[in-house]
Amino acid sequence: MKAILLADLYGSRKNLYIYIPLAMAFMALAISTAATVTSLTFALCASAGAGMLPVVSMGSAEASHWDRYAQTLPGGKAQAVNARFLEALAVAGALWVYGTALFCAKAALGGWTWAEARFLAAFVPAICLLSSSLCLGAVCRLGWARGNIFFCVTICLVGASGAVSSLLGVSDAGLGNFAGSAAVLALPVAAGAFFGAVWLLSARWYEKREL
Amino acid sequence: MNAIETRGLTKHYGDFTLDNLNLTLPSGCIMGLVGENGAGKTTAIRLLLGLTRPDGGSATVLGAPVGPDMRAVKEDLGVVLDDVGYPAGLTARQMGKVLAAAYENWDTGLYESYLRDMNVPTDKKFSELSRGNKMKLGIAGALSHRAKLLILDEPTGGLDPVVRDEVVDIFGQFTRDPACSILISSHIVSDLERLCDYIAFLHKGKLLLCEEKDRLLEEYGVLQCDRAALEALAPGAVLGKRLTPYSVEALVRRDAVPAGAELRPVTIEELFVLLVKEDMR
Repeated sequence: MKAILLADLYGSRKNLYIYIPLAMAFMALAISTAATVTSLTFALCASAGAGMLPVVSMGSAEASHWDRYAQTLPGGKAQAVNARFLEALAVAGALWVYGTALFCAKAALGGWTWAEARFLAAFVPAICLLSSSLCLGAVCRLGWARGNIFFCVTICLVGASGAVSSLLGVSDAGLGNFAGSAAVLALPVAAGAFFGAVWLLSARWYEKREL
Repeated sequence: MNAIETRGLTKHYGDFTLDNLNLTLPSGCIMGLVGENGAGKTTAIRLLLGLTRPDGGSATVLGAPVGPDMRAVKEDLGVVLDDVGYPAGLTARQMGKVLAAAYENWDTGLYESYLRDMNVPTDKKFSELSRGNKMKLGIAGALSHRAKLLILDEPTGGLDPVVRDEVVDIFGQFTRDPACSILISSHIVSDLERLCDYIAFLHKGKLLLCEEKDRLLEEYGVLQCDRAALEALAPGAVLGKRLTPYSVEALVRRDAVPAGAELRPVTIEELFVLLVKEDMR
């Protein structure tokens, strides 16, 4: 699995240069407009965008047939799946740490509430885990050629979510109330459970696939 | 111990079936898998590597049954697939680090010496390498962890004759160790003729024959004669024939032709072509 992680790290450098600055910029925007509809959209973009990194690695591996060659290396077939889900966890963790650091910086300057902090701290990793597990599961089950539709749909959903939330009239006050409620903490728990279940299923699906 | 053993290995793909493949490769030997495009060579190799599940039969590689978990065996396997399959964005140097992370016995010095000897650029991305350099990189990767068995799918395809010659020499050196074996598929039969101890002919998913190369060359010969002489031969003596406007060239069993008949030695390529043509008649 170490070999696959290393290959993904080398191979996705170009993607990292695109996705990481984008995710960081969106996170900064989300925090600067904390607990508003705009904040929600920016956080969604940051989380889902970063969550796509392992999915893109898996797609590139399939395109270059590295997925097939990797199966001839020592280690079981599931190592390719485990590596990508670990990458998704690492990305979600890194984004959370970055968000927390921004909050600390904002706290030092004043002008934030615990509710806002709690909302973004829960929301960001949850969306990151949900989006990456959804797409990774689809790619493990269907292969990149057919599963990449999930990748496109997720990206489109993220883009459309801001507009939809505005159309539905999600008010700043309403979002602030939700952010303040304890229910927001259930988000990462539910996302974590979904992520774990998809991980297990993906390993099984991938075992059955002929590469 | 046999390096590879298959018993009745079968795989169906739509209109193609690899049917009842029985191969035995003793340790320390090289077996060449010969066949036209679509004969089933790659399917056989993928089955042996556990990349594809068989529909019937069984196989062992280095004594271990082929299946989803071949962890211990894979440490001793060196593999070159027909398209190599390294990540497109990685350089040879980075690929060395990736493979070092995968194999316990990885020898970085040996890998670098192969790259140097075969003139593979170390800082170019894999996707930017020529087909020949990709293949050379794949071969360096397969040889640098002291594998006991090499499974090579068309490893000399795309290489120029000089490099092919060097690569064939490297494979020859690899099997100087009696514990090391090679299964190699190729269209370039002359390479296999030079290298292999055993030859297996695949045609339309069926194994036409699998024998020691020297025995094949001893057992069969080419008889140049006229049609009347050919028809006078015992039934079963002729395995294949090529008609020319003036005479007939027939692949015959040496022990089935009358003493005194002038036979010339058969090459593995001729043997394969004549057998396949006969099968297609």
